[in-house]
Amino acid sequence: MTQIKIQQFEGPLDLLLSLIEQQQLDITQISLAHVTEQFLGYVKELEKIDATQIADYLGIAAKLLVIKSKAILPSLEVESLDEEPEEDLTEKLLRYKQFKEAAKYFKQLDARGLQSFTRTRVFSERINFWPDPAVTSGTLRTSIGAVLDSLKELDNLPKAKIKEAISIQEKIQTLQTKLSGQIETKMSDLIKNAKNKEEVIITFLALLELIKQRMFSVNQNELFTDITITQYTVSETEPQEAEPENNDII
Amino acid sequence: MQELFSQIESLLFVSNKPLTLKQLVKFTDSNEADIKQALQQLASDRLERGVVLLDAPDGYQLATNSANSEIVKNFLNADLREGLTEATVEVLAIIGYRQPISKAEIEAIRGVNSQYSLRALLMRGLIEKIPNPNDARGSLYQVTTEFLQHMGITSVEELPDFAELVAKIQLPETPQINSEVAAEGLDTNSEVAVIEISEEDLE
Repeated sequence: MTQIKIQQFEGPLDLLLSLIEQQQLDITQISLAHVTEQFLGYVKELEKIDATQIADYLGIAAKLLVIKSKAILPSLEVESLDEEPEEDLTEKLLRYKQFKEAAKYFKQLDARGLQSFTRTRVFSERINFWPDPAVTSGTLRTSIGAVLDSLKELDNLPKAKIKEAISIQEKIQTLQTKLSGQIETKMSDLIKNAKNKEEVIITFLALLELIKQRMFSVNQNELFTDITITQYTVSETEPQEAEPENNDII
Repeated sequence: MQELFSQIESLLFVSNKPLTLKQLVKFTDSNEADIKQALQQLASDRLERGVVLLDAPDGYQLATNSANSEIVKNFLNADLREGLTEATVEVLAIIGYRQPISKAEIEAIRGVNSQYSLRALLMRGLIEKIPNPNDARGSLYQVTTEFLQHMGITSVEELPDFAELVAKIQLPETPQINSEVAAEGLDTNSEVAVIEISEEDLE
């Protein structure tokens, strides 16, 4: 946790207390109303720094706003909130301040550096294991065997491997770079190094996509023969569309 | 009685962990009341000696007098335990004076989440967690003999009385809230500011 300005305070009560004390006020509703704005200012800052602490602060902020509203509008009746937030808050603050005082005393004790020590554990005094008289090399052997067997069982837990996943998107990209470097490519060359059926399928799907995007065209002379992939050219596959264009230019 | 006193002292001497009343009952085969009395005598006899009796909720333990902190530390070639942070010392003070106490009660007093401080104190062994007798799901916190060693005291009884310690911190005679006085400190801009912030922050 980074300690910046606001976080020197040990929570909202600590902040509120120091705001009141800075102005040398007593803990009263009036002084609470007095420091409400400053408190909210800090909370706003805190929100930017560390949102996790904000909840504790907002609870107190809500109480302060009720107190302040009452100070401005004495006739204001707040029904929904718990009774008398100002009483509640001044008491809370007072109690907190008392424990802060106690903490100060503890801090002094701590700072004296007077500590006491107890006997520490000495290992040599503590060796209280010896083998059972009935133990023989045979029984030890069986025991260690049993331990090893149970380890083997642990080792034989069912295993699952995470399969390498090939995304179509990746395949399209690799195909694109590969194919555009050559005039024509055989489909059989593309799938020659495929690790499994999935990769063949993915390669084929990627190829279909590239054809759809009109980047490459394919040609197959007979059923089940190899497919040849070539760069897409306008005139070759769609002459009827290409020609009117040419006409326009002429 | 003198025999019991002597037995207890021997047990405490060889133990490197705090002994509970229950353990002492079991090993001395005596009743709690007698043991308590013997422990009290032991504690007061030893108060100014080189070895004192620590009395914490987690048990009884013999330890060096904290007045000899420096030479014992040097002999053991040890460092003193690290000092406490503001947050942990606050939590420790609350537990010290209100033990056993729940996390919720600690947080109600401090007005802020105290999870980290409690964990830090637990890890250092300065406090311990016990089951809450009134709530099976909850826990309570109390200080340990390690806490006494750290603070250099023999029992929480040695701490000043809470009421005396905080005697000067009292609520002033609370006057009823007075709109004139309260409104004095406000200028017109500040009222607008308050309303603006309240809407953003409280939604």
